[in-house]
Amino acid sequence: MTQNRSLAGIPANSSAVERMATLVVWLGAALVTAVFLWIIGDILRHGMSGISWAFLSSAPQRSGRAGGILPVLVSTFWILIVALAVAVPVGTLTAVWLADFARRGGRLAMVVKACLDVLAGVPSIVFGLFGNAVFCRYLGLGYSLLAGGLTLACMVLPILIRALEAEFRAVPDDYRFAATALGMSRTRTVTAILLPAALPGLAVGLILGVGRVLAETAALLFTSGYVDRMPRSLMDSGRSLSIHIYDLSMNVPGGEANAYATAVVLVGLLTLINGAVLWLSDHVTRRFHGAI
Amino acid sequence: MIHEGSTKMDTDPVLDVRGLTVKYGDIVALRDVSLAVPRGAVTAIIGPSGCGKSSFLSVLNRLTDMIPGCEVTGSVRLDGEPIHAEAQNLIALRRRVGMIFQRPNPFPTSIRCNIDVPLRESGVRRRSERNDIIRDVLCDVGLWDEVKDRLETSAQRLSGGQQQRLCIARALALRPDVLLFDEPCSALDPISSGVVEDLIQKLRNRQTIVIVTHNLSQARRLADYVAMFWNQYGAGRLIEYGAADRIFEQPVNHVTASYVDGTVG
Ligand SMILES: Nc1ncnc2c1ncn2[C@@H]1O[C@H](COP(=O)(O)OP(=O)(O)OP(=O)(O)O)[C@@H](O)[C@H]1O
Ligand SMILES: [Mg+2]
Repeated sequence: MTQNRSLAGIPANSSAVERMATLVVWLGAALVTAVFLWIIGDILRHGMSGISWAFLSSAPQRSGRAGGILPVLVSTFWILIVALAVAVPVGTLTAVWLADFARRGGRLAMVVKACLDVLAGVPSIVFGLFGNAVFCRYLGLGYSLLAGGLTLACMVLPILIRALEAEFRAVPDDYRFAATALGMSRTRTVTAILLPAALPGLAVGLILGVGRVLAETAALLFTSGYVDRMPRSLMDSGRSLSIHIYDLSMNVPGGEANAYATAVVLVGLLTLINGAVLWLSDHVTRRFHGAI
Repeated sequence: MIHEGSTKMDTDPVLDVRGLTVKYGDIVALRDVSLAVPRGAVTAIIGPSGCGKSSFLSVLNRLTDMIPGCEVTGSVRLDGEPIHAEAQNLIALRRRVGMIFQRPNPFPTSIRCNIDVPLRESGVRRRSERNDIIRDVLCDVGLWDEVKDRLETSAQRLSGGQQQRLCIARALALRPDVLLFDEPCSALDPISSGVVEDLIQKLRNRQTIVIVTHNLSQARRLADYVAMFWNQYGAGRLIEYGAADRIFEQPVNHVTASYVDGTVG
């Protein structure tokens, strides 16, 4: 122990340790960024050349080797709409209930939470089997966009609810007490104060949900099917972007080019939606919080 | 317990508390407290930490209902009506009995919305009417000139003292009969604290005020009546209650005497 020690017992060469630590942290961040850029770069390099207006606006030909992805885009859109239209309201209400209405530490809330935690870890293929049994067969929806969307709603609900609930709990109790002492009803407190205050978290939960819906293949194979024709209603079977990519790269020899182009569209769509959600949430949040 | 024989205290109390006991599970925060809050006066509640002062206040607007495991027994009458009656409308009660907390707690919205949202909720439908009330109450708390040009900006940008005055304005907007203050100055710097205290002085003739304070000189300056709480046998008790002068000059209870002397507590 010949080292020079400072008063606080920190080695005198702590600046070297500090620098090492900084370096490691930076390396980690750089690594993550590099992997991300690599993947995106790879997709763009292989897929960008396939992107054109014609590709986005025409139907696939020869099992997708040629032609475009319009019906696939439309099907994806409907699946996403159905999933979010169900998951967002149900998720928000459940989260509000868990965070604000359920008796703290109450039996029912505990059971609900335990179920959600288990469900969040269930592989998507199991949700696919469940959706197939319940929505396609039992409820008679068959292979349809509706069945697919509902299945995905079930799949994202647990994640969405726990994310939202955490956000609601993070809203200081001071606001709840203040609102109650001002004679505001519980419902009004939630809609006028707590929901807006938790909005940034809602946006993040929504983005997570959209990401999972757009990425899903396994659960959709069993529920919305993989017909690549233009759907005429929610009761038609339809193929999502992710299934299209899967099919082109695994089952269709010579489909790789269009698989990559579709991947570019998928990544672009995700970026676009995330951007829109963040912008919207930021906009509304600013209005709620008042100008700075 | 010693009661003052003052006529004002006994004839027409706004709030009449009898045999109040408050428990949080096994913890007895208050035991058998009886106290009549005189109309139009300032009643200060003093006593050491943990003797149930805040619990007492939260019983008066039934904020205790929000705390799981909190059990309230005894009777509290507001203008003669029992507030724990089955038919009591909690929302109406809380509009009549306003509360200001120790830590300023404006909503994370604009200054205007802080007052506007509860006001609209209380049934003032016309926007112009609400705007008038907002201006009036902000004038009342001396905040109007400071914020009139930035009503749409975030309330959380205000200083602590301004935030507390906004919270008072927000409570005043509902035209309460009684205002409960739970150590309203203790989270503020001395200057803001002085401003808020002056404001309470200004309100004293319009409103019945019950204020919890740790600051004995503040209690001397503000209070008409003083209630002294103390921990006895593991529960908060009211040990002396009477006109402020009497409590400070000739306390009967020796604990009160040492407390107001600053020798205990
Ligand atoms: N929500 C609660 N759950 C359990 N116990 C509580 C709760 N609130 C208060 N208590 C207990 O009740 C007793 C009285 O608390 P209270 O806050 O009313 O005291 P106080 O006189 O306001 O104290 P202070 O001067 O520190 O604010 C304390 O022993 C406290 O620990
Ligand atoms: Mg207190």
